[in-house]
Amino acid sequence: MDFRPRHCIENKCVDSRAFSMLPPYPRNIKSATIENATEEYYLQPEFYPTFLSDGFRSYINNSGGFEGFSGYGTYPSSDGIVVRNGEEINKTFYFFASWYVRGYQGVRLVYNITGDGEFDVKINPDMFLLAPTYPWFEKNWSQKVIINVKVRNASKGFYSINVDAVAPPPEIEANWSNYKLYSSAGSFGVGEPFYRLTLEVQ
Amino acid sequence: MRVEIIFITLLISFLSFSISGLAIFNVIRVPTSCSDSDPSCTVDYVSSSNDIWETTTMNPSGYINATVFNGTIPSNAVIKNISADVEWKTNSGKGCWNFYTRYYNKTNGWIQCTGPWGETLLDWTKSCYFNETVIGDINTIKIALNGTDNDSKGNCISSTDFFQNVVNYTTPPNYTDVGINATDVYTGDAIKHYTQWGEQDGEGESLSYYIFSWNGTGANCDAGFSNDSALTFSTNPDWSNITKTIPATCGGKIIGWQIYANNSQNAWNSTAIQTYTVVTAVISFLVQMPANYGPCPSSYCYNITADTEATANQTSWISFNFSSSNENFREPYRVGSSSDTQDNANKKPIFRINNTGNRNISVSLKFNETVPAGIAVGGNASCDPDSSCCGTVQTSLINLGGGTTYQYLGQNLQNTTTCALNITLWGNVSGVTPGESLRYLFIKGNRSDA
Repeated sequence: MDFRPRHCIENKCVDSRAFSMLPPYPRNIKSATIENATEEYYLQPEFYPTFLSDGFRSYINNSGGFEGFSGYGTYPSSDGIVVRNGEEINKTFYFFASWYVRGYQGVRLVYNITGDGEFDVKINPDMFLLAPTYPWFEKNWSQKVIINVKVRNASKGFYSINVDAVAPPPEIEANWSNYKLYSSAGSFGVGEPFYRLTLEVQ
Repeated sequence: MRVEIIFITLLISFLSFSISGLAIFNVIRVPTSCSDSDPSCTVDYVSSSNDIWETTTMNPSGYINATVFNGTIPSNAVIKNISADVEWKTNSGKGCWNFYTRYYNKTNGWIQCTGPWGETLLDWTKSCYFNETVIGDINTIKIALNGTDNDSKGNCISSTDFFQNVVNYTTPPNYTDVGINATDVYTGDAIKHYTQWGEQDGEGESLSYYIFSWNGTGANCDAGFSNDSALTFSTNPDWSNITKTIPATCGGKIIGWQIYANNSQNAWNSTAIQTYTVVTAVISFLVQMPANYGPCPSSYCYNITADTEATANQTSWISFNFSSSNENFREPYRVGSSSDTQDNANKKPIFRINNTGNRNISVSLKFNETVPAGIAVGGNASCDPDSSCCGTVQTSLINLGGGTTYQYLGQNLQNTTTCALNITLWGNVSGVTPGESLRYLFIKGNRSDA
């Protein structure tokens, strides 16, 4: 039984084959949260608000004569939390290939911290290969990423951990470059990090 | 909500203190109407302390009632104390007894305030203080003097010189501007919640503390309202500015907030509960290229790889191929496939950029260095399907190859896959020596609503 809703515009609907390589659509997808979603949830494009609001249109009325060769994003792209010295927290975000991308994309996540505080930061995973989303969503089109932060020593105030996407090192790309229409992350910026975690140290 | 109110009450108690020497409003109200148990009452006799007396016979009991007082108390007043004052005397040796004052409360009726007293020839001013916080009840207060004659030695007569109702109150801080520093609120945004507070001129009071309260906390942004620690004002008027970073768990939810403030008389006020809806921030983009650019025989096609702007090392894959040394408006084509050569008739954009997230972006381009002399590369853009979704679009041709600074081709591109910014490149040559030159072209997206 497929519980996936149909996505249509004026009687033209997304071809169900676009989702054929994904796990079965869970009936209770709305119960999944950013923190607790498992693969069967976060690999569904419906988990992402921009697919429901607009993204599905790419699978109905695509751009004639053009192909998507690069594009990715984050959900959520920013988060905030109140922390104290010595505290350790985990936050989750999803790094995904944009709708209508035909090729594989190699991603390496790097970060910097604004402010003078001392933090231990771990990003897991920090390197991965995103699969295409067109003409169908291939598994691994989205990657769940957990950022672990331990506040070692920071005075009260606001700090930002900024995560950006860059190309993987050449030795990794050498293995990935044979994937279909492979490209590296980092070719397009949005003027700020793709993920920003704001810490309010109290 | 009951819990929060209790917390505030406790906090107010904790912060309560008195500062001597600071004035509060003091309103002395006198009657404008009266009645007594005799046939008539002359209000002028009891509205000032001038030794003109209104007499009332106790037969065997009687009263005089100040039924209406002048002056009104502001609706936002915080009552510090309230008194009923009566100056009166009785004749002596007539068994005057059980004299007392009382005031009228809408809920509980007449309430004895002070007394009883016996007879006296001297005029007494008796005051009693009582708790009354309902402004409407205070504005309609009645105060009465009651008495009885408890013997048979002729009627006891009470003479009343004046009534007065003294109300000491303060007004809480007032506010004039409430809001946040954003039109749309996304998760992770640092949102400033502001209110301007002031104390009324002439009260002699100062602003003391403010407390921010909101419901943007909890594991799932569902912990209900909680209060921050109190912060102090420094001037009058002053702003209460509280910046909060919106957790991702609040995405899609409505956040409520309000700010409480008090003054040096511990009079509190609060803004109404303000609300805003939080959108879960999504940043994503899509770069499309003409379909005849792929699939490619090797990695250089579509290989627009870059690390950072400083270390970009992508392979040249967009070429301008001129058939003569003097040619204008040539479009680029893909290396290795002359059949993909574009020409002036096609006018096909080289990039088609969609904002697939929910935050607006802007797109700019530059070369890493100027193109060789005799070559010019220009660019322009258009918005598809119409100009309404792209914000500002650089429709006229601008020279990209002559400089190395980013130039916007589109600004404020909205978040919809059906809206695309089409970027077209053009090449001109004029008397250039045949050969091949390599330049890097950078495409930069800026989040334009940041």
